[in-house]
Amino acid sequence: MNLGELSKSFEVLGFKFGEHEYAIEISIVEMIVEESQITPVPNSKRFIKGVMNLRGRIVPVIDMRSILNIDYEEKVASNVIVARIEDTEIGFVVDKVTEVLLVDPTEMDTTMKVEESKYFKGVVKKGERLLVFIDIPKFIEDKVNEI
Amino acid sequence: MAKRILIVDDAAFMRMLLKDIVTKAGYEVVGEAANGNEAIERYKELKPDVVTMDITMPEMSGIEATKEIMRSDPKANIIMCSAMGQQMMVVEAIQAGAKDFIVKPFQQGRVVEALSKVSK
Amino acid sequence: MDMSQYLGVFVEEAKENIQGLNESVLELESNPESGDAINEIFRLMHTLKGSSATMGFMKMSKMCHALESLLDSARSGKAKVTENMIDIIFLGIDKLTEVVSDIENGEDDSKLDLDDVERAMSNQGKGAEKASKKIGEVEKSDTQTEFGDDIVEEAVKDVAKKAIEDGLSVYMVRVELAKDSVMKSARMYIVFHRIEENDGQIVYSEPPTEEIEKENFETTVELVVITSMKMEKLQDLISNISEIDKVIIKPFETKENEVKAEKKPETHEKEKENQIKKDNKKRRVKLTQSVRVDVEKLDVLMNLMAELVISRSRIEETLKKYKIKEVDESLSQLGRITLDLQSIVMKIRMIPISFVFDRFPRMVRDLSKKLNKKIDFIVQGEDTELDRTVADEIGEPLVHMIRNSIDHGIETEKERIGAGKAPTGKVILSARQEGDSVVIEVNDDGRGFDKEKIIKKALESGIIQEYEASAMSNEEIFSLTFEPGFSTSKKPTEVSGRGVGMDVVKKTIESLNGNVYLESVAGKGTKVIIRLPLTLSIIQALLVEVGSLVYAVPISAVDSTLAIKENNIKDVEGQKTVLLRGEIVPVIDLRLHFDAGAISEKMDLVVTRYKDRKYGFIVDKLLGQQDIVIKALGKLFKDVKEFSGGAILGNGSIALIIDVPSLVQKALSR
Repeated sequence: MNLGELSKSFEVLGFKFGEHEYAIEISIVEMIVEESQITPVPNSKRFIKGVMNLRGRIVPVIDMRSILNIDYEEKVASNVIVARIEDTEIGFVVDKVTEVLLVDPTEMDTTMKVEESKYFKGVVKKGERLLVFIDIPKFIEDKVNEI
Repeated sequence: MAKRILIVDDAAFMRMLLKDIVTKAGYEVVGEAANGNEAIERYKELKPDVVTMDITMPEMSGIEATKEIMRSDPKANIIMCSAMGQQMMVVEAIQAGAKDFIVKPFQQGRVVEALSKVSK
Repeated sequence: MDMSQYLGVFVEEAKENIQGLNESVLELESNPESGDAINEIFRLMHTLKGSSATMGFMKMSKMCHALESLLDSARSGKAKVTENMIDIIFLGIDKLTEVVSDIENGEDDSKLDLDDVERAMSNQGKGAEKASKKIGEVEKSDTQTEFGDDIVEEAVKDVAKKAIEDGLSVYMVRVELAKDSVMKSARMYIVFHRIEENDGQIVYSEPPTEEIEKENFETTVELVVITSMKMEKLQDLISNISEIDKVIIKPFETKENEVKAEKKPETHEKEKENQIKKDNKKRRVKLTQSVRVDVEKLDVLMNLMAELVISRSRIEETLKKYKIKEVDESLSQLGRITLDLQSIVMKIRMIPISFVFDRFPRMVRDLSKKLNKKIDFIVQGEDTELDRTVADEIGEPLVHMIRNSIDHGIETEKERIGAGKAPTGKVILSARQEGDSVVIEVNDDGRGFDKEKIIKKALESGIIQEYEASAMSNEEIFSLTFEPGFSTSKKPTEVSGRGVGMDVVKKTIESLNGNVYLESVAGKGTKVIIRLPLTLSIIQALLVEVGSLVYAVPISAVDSTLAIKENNIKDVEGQKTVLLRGEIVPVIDLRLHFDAGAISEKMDLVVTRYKDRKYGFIVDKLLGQQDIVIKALGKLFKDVKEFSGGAILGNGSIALIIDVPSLVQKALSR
């Protein structure tokens, strides 16, 4: 979606790493599960954490920190956001899922430059809170092309 | 001479029941078997006129046994004993060469009819 | 009336008819006098004409009509079947094939071009002039009957008439089941089975077979049966099935019965038998196809089945802890049922390989014409069954291989005569089941591969080095032909192109967990042997523990297992090896390869087999053998070749499935 052209309010899913807050578009989110056993796949790409058993399906799990380019220490109890991107289910490990937020276009700033990652698409301002908006589908598209 | 019957079923109760029905109708039960493997052995040894063959059995199913018996004796007369809902398996058994089938719970008349028609 | 709901069935059936047409026209080509072939072509064209008109595809219907009229003179015996005629019919069939695929893709028949066929027909000369005029002007009376409600009845009457001409009998059979009869469709199945087993053919059934299968009928079924049997025998045959109350049989009435029967009073017994056998075969094909299920639904079923198996073993594991006697019995019952269910689901997915093979005779015919080589193409074992997914994938590689055989393998007629061979080349395509595998062979009696030439070529293209060449076994030499960039043919040809692409063949087959070999004798011929698993979704695997994780090795790749100690492992030029019964076997330490962390002293060795060589995998522990359901890992793991997929184990954890060839290649190239 092209955020610059948004005129209506839209919903995002917020999550946290430490005190830093992030958001992704809600339409791609299928479910949120507690992080369970993740089986690492040796010799796979670094951003991949492994695969998990999601109700009998084998779903790849990606470490969200590799998208954010942050080196944040892993917690014991983490959440996995399961997204459906082009008919593929993919899990993303995050520290903690916070809430679903309704964002008014006026609260979205796409001009603010965030340097750490090319997948940062802007910043959502909710009162005092700042959430970095991440373009997950773009990330997956790039990675699949890379492989 | 009375026709000779081999009864195959993993449940002893069913074998007993069938044996009763069959004997009363004037047939001779020459042997019993509790699974497919046994059925094949007993068939070779006894050469019965008719076999009543249960479908679901441990070790080797009635369908496998039917296939095997038909292979060794294409003239074998086998009647499948089926439970409701095993339609697909009955069809498979018939493809394999079974001549007829009876449905549990058994009705005396039906069993005797099948036996007399098959052993004609 | 909205016809769109019938579109799927129409397309499916049209494809079948076209396939049948291809076969019959091939038959007619090799045997131009064959009345049977002409009649069959007519029958199929007629069906196609009628059904396409019914669906509103008038152009398609016209095409069928034109082709029908082309053969008219040949049918009535006025003209001979010429090569030209055959070519035109094939051209027409190709057009029909295209249009059906258009229709399948949601278009209509407007792209169908009648001109080519028309032109060819007008060049055809005297005999067909009349026919060419007819194109585009399907007579009203002709189509009108097709639209009528008794289209089926008409068709049945047609078939019946023909059968009577052939000296067979046609009966109306009314079967009444006992009122309280249960499992009625299985009961009716016996009736069908008995009739067909005894040289009978059921050409009509009311209710139709699909309804009977769904048990949508009361107690009575009416059939039209064509057979050489006497009425009494048929009566006996059906009455001798239990729970059948009444069987009424009378001769089937068609107006022209008597007249036609007189015309052709006696046919040879043998011919009759052949006719019936042929018809029976066709009938059976129809029956197996009468249950049409979306492949996707089958995949879903398979997945659900797999989940059921997993849940069952999970329950079993949990309950075992509590040792409850009463549960044991129902648990083993459940086990039995799931096993039965599993095998049935697998069977549903199986289709005869004729599904793939059927298109080849036509392809070979076209190729041999194009290359001007005489080919005797023999197909064997087309009843062999294999998984639908495998069948879908194997078509392209086979096309490749058969083309190679004909283009590069089989010599020209001149060359063959010069070499003292029969002028007609032979290509045999065969399939058979061996254990859990399907073996497909393409065998030709052509020029074969010259080992020296292969080596020379491989050296030139840098696939091997001089020092390697001298030590190679026959098998290794022939396997070079599957290397990328290898081709022994000097000039590229229109048919197979340059580079031949046997490497692509090999890749496809290996991706299906199969393998391919080549055997050849220079001057005598070539045999390519493909071995494929019967099914892709469930395999037997050996589970092993490496670090804290469980991996699965397909049993098909395992040679043996044994416990070893550190001092059994020797370092030979930087490569770890063990000595096994006098054989030096390279070993790969999976604990290192998979970066499994701490390495314990206790270890086991799994000896695998790849390309006739042994490779040992060091693991921490052997866990045992198990049936596993293969699931794909998805595109994010495209680069990780050493795993062919993953499997979910009884405790819910995932075992990655090791792809032995890729792992060996990767580990040894490190």
